[in-house]
Amino acid sequence: MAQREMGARPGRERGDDEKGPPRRRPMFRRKVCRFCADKTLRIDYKDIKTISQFVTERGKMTPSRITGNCARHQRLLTTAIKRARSVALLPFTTAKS
Amino acid sequence: MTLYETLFVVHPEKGPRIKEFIERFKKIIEGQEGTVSHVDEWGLRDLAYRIEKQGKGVYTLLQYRSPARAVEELERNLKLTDGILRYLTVRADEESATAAAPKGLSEEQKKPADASAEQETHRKAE
Repeated sequence: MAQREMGARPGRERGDDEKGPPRRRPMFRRKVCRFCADKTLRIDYKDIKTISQFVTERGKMTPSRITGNCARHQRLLTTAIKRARSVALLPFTTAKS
Repeated sequence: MTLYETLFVVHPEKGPRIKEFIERFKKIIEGQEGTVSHVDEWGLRDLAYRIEKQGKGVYTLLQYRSPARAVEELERNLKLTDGILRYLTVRADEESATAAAPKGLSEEQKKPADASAEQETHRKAE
């Protein structure tokens, strides 16, 4: 990925001010699914406090690639969010003007 | 017999008559050989979006063990009743059912406070 970026910007020469090995992607802390880490934590459509941590300010669901949720819990979360939306506990969108 | 829970939202103007609604729905469930195990009145809450031009609604959660036809009957009645803004019936989680804690406005602080902040940093890192 870093390689491709280099190719895209040929004007920028390497080695002038950049030293050492080619720059890699920034260090990540491995994301752990929060629901796997804490087994007591339940996904419930009524528990908006927990669920709203997984939606953006606009009311969209945050992808698991960002939250680090495992597939199973992301799936459960999805149904929970959709349920909460249907009974007006969570917004479908917040496009207030 | 399965454990179900039904959440319904009542029009705020019908709020004072909420007990009537609850009684009526309880009777319906019991009439179908169900047993109501838990009634949780959340009270008047803000809606996430407007329903029938209302910004607020009275939430009530019923938890009951009943055959499936009780759900059918209850939902049919919810549909017919005036002043019901929304309802939702789901099969309740048997495990956590015993500790069916009210999950309304006053939520116990189970989550660490920095949880949302942590998510924020994840987003930035991406």
